[in-house]
Amino acid sequence: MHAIGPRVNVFFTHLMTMTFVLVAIGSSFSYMQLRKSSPIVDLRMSEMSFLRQLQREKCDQAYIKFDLDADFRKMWSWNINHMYVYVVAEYQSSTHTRNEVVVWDSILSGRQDALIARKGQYNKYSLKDHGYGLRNTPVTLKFKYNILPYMGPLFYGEEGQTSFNVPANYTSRSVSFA
Amino acid sequence: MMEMLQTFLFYWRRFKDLKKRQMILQVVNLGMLLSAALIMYKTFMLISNSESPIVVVLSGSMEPGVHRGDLLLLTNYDKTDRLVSGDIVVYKLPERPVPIVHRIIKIHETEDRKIDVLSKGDNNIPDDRDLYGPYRKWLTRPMIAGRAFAFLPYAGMLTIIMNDYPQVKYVLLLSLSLFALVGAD
Repeated sequence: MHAIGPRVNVFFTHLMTMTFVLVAIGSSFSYMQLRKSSPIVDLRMSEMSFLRQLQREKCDQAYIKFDLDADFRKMWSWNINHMYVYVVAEYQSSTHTRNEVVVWDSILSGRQDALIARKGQYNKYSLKDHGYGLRNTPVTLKFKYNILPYMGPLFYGEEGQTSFNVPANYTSRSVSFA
Repeated sequence: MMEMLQTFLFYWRRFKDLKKRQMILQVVNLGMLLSAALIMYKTFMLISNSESPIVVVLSGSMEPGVHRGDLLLLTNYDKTDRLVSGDIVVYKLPERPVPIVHRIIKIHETEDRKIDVLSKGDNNIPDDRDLYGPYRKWLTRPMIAGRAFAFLPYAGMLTIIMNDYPQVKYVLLLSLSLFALVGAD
């Protein structure tokens, strides 16, 4: 009846259940904490270096530069393992009602990375459209972040945005938006 | 003398019978356990609307945020919940049996809500276009099995070990079923 097997079994089952309960309680507390806090963000469009057609890929391509200041130091809480921060270009084109293109991203791996200050930051991934739909289009740049916790639910947030108009013609000269 | 032998035989048969019954009971118990696990998984599938609601990360392409052996919980509400850029999704290509856990970096949606998606692993330098194969530029909605909404570290480590060392799987399965069959209550 009270052999070693059932005892070990009960012990580990209990341990598992308790761990799950602790994880659930802890991560929901940190989730509520994150919902209340937000970073201080200043995102400004700086310039478009060029706008061209890519014949081979059959799409428009633009290179952009932006200024980004973001401060996560206040909201960095105990359950944040890493943070994926990214700048998304959102716009409407004649063929697609919703276009979201990530132009820059970075991973913050601790409180020491929580302050971002980039001036004249080039896009990491160029702004490429699905087709030839970039000319004369209003684009909104948005700064978003995805928190990867030690455990529990993933958290998504956004703060700070800036808008600009893509020029009406293809250009190899840079266009300033500052 | 004869009578004694008969009573002995009677009890022996009863004992053997009992053993058999217990054996059957154990087998039934094992079956109940397995079907309970199956029902639980199917219930998760129903709630999450995803064909694979729990996914173990098998590659390091999402480091440093998501490691090999971490567990991701998925939902797949394709009608109500729109995918957005930055979402961690699990997709399956028709030619590849292994599901891939990566992040959406581009999404283009038409008026009738058809989406073209481009994904990339956080730890990879290029995007996933080379993975898609020579004739595919975008992922479409049916290839996406779900988006991650929660994360449990190391919880899938056993799967990784069993994948890397198949012997462990057989030993574990054998000893588990042996314990379940002959183990004392």
